[in-house]
Amino acid sequence: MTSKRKQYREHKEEERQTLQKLEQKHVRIAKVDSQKRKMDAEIKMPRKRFYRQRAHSNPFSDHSLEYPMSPNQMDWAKLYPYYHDEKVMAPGKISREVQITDIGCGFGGLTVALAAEFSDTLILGMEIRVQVTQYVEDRLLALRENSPPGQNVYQNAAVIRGNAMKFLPNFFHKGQLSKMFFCFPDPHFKQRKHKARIVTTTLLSEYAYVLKEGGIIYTITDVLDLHEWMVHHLDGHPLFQRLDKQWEDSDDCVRIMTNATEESKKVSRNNGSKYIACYKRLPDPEI
Amino acid sequence: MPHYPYQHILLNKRGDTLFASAANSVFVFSISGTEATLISKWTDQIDPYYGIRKHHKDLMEKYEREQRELDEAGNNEKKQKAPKMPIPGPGAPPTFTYIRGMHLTRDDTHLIILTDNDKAAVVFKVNPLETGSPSSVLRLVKRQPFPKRPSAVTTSLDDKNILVADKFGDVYSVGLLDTEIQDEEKMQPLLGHVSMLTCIDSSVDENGKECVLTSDRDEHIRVSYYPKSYVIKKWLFGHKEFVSKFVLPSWSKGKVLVSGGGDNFICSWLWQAKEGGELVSQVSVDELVKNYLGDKHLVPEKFQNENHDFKEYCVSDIIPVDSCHKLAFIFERVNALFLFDLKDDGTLSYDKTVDTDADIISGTVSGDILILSVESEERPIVAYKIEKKGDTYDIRQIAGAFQAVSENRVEVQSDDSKQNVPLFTVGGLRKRREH
Repeated sequence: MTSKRKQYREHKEEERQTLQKLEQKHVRIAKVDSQKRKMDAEIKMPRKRFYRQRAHSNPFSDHSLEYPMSPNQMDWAKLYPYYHDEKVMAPGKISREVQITDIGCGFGGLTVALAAEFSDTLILGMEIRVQVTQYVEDRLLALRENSPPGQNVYQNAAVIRGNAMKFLPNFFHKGQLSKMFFCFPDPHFKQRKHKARIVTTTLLSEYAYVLKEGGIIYTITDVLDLHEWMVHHLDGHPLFQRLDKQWEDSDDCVRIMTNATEESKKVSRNNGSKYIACYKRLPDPEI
Repeated sequence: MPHYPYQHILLNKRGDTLFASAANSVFVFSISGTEATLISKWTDQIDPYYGIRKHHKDLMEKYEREQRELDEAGNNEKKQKAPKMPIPGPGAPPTFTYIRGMHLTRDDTHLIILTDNDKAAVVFKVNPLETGSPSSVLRLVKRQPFPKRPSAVTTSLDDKNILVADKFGDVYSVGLLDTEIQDEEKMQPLLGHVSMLTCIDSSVDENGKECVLTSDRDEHIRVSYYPKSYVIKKWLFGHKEFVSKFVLPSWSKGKVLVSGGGDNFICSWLWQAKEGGELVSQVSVDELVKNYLGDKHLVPEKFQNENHDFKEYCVSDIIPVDSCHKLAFIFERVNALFLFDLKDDGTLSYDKTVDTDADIISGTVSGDILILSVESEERPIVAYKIEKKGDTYDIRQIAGAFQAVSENRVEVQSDDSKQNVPLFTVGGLRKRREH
């Protein structure tokens, strides 16, 4: 017998597919809202308890992931239909580029908060766990659908299931991103699992490639050991420079990431510590 | 007992020396015309349980340290048992002592081999026979272990550093002649992918800057600057399956890169071109290779189709033939060599197929001589002469050439093929993409 959780997710899956098809057909038409409402009185916000999944995923295994062969082949219109105009754009293209990524976005708290804060900037959450990704997808769809008529809020946020450690350059061009968030990443405590950590010196070179000069890497964790690890690796990378406490205190994103994510709320509830480190992408040196 | 075929063969540029490895031995032959003479042999004496013993030693050290600390604290109660040496049981997968790769420096003066047990690169100075005795042909410079199993090796353009790529996705750089052995635990990688690396080479970009190129199991070919490899220049996007091998043929002055792997096509690139515009040719090889596939190419039952006839193949090596500007492609477990023409503008086009009696394992070229190692007990080495005939080239087999190479060989250890060193491992790189 299918479990209640699975049934719930299957129902949401159907809902999601109907909605996404509709959206692709009727992009940017104001009437679309009322049409959809007829179909389904109101899209309810998804309930997190039906999507829970264990907190770890092996980033080295061969998941069946969807990723474009190269950034030029990415179908962005599927994720951001509001920014696609089929009259003037090639299929899959949108009018602006993604500039902010939330790597390991979890249940999407930060992605959603950033979308509200930067309403003109496209934000992409990346998450490796299937069910958690589906939750964020349903959450964003519900937020989009339930936005007041005439206001197209949350059209600038999307989520994909992906492995950022392996396939980030398949999505983004050189220097495309202005901000990358690494919020409460998996600490991978065991020594032999350290390469699975999301911030390592060798991976930072790939993040530096997709970040523009002056772009910023944000990290926050409640695990001191992981914080020290990330600081050590970022400090040791010639293309990154740490931003000082004063900068942290004045930056809106630091404020949001400290308070908005599910994980950060949990840490606050448990009176845990939050360690923050932000780094600026330096220009390439003379080769 | 039957013998191992040669897993890797390598001619130097002058074509007067052939290096051939089988299991854990390297044979060196001097070549003159179609005659080969064995001038040296080196057998790896490494303990097959090197890894286990090293792990045990580390555990023992940790245990002794902890015991000392307990003693010092005056606590004698909670003493643990000393860690046991973990001897593999009868069902454990066999450990092999074999040579994973063989590479000559750009100036042909040094031979680098990659070993399996101790995950090392072994560097030899190659001395001409006339300067000494057979035993001094290969003079050991050093044996440098690495943190993870090496999978490919090259040298920087000046031959000063060897660049070792491993199965963990990292590349390490160590001095070629530096005899001081570095502690592998403390080594810092030059660059890293999060995927097993399959091939590595160096070249210069359109601005004359040195680059290191690396390919991996995740379809990527990456170009990083060298030695500042933390600055990535670009990726070459086009493969849909793993990349097993790429070459930068000398006649195209390092401008053209040709690659192959688990795809049913091969690619040529002007890798220095504008981002996104590098791919020149993508040539399908399905029709060519299809007729040579047999039961050994059937995919495992778990991934099979309804008719149980789904076959897979992959490129295991690419050999540039400088004298006629052709590339010879070896496909794993296929008894034919496929030749392609490569023009200076990067265009790749099919030329012809050379059938062989047995499946090709490895190949090497120098001047107009092409040598293949094949999976055959009777004739493990086949040689060809490349002759210009008008506008085309003829590839003619040289009967009975290099007899000595077939005569000096390593016996297999066991009747059970599972206990012997595997010859064909490239197909195993294919991703099955579950979950």
